[in-house]
Amino acid sequence: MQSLIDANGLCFSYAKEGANIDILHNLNFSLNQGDFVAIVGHNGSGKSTLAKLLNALFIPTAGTLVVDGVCVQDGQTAFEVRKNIGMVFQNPDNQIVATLVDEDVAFVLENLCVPSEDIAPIIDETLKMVGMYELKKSAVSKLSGGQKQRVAIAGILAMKPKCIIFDESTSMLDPIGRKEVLNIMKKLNCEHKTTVINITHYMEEVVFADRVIVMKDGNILKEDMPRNIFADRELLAKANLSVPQVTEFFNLLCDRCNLDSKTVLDIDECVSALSDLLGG
Amino acid sequence: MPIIELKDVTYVYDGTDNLKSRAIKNVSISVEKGEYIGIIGHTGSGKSTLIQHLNCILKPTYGKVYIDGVDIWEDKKNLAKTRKKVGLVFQYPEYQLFEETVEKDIAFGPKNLGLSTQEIEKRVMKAAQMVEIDQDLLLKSPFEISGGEKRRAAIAGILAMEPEILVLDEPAAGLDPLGKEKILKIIDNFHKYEKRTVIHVTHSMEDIAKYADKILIMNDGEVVSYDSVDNTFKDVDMLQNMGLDIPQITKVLFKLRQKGFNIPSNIYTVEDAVNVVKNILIEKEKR
Repeated sequence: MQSLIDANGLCFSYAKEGANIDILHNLNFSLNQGDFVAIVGHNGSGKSTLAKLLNALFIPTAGTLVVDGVCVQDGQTAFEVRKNIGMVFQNPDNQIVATLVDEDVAFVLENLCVPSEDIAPIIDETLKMVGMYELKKSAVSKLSGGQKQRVAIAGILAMKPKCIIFDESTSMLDPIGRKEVLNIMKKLNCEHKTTVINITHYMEEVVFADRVIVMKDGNILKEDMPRNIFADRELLAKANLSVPQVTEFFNLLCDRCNLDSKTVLDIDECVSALSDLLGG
Repeated sequence: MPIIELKDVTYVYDGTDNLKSRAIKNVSISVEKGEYIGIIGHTGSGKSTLIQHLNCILKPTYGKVYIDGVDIWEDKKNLAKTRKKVGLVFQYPEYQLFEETVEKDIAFGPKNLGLSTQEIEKRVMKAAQMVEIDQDLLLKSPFEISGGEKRRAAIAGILAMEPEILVLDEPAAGLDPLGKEKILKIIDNFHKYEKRTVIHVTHSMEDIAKYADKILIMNDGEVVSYDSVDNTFKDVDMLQNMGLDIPQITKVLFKLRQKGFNIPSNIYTVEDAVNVVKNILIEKEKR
């Protein structure tokens, strides 16, 4: 099967005061349709630069990047690439252009020259998917952060992209808003086989991905399942990553009580491991 | 005498007073000198509006704000004094960096206080040290340092004014885990060693449980709870109904209790949880 995204020796650098500043060094990875991948790494590790390459906002300076058969190489192919790769940014206020919820989704469709009679049904469909249909006539300014972010997502969904990149899309939201957006990611991935790339600093979110790409200083340090990533303490230290609170707790408990180490990823796993310890 | 006292403060944001346009309603709270207060609440609950009342950015439509016993709106002269006492770190404060060098940026606040060159230099050095900004970084442009460094430089600019009260609006948002940990440590040190009052707005229940003495919960512009960490996290249902959450570890122990294990209910940090479980395991060994 042909992969959806293929990076081969992907590099990105920019010139500053005559010198070349390298941001990404020789990245190699591929993603298939339907993958759910988390990208983690310290501030400045190159995560967002990578996202911007995937969306043809930046053009690779060396190596190749192929998105659904189209090579990201110049402005000519950018439009094709962007049809398939949607981006949801950190701050929904920077992404939403209209004043009413449904108008914001319509903006995307008008730009794609969708016939006007088709626009209304697509708006309804996408707003239903993100649970904002009831508020379709509301003013965006009256919405909560989580609701705004869901409108931004609806705008992206209207394009029917094969892949959506969430670039720290939950970092400004309160706990419930964060859960809402995360649930949409899961639903899109599960029910619509949309490829999801979640760039995040919240390790509790990373747990839901099938795979994690760990970045440091413009390199990919490791690519693996969340369980293996969170079990690799040496890697975590090297990449300055933390773990979910329950994982941290259980690691510390094992260390202090000389128990065999075990990596628990979420609340239920932690409860069950503790029940075994305390009950057995 | 409390260092901060709000009496029946209501803020109407678009001039026409109706229930909808009240961003905060009848807020009455007092904060003692040296306390570390965490403020939580869903987006749009009035947290930011509330803290902007603490240093004269917003004037209450009704009610009074007292800082150190002084009604800050009683006399225009109080404005400068209040802003000197209350340092406010906005969300994403690094967007406010503007000077040629990090050093000049940190010095901007103290300079405006009319301090001597010597005193300014001393304060810049001390603030830089507190936020772990090295000498060579001080001479760089604020636009060529990393995201975490920018955030710390911006906070140093406020610390250099040596405020009695430090107010921060989500100071760790958007930072990587290490950067976040550093910021939290800086705030904690300022509270512990400089003995200053801290007001910290956040969405992270884990952080607030670890550092705050008391938690203030805002919901739809009103104070719904202002209590110790223990009492605040007791009412899980109330918190979740307001779009909030409790620390992961608290949930784990809560579920264990539901399963019939005899575990205390007031555990919010990893350290405490490990100790509690360890003791239970030791007891079990003995039997």
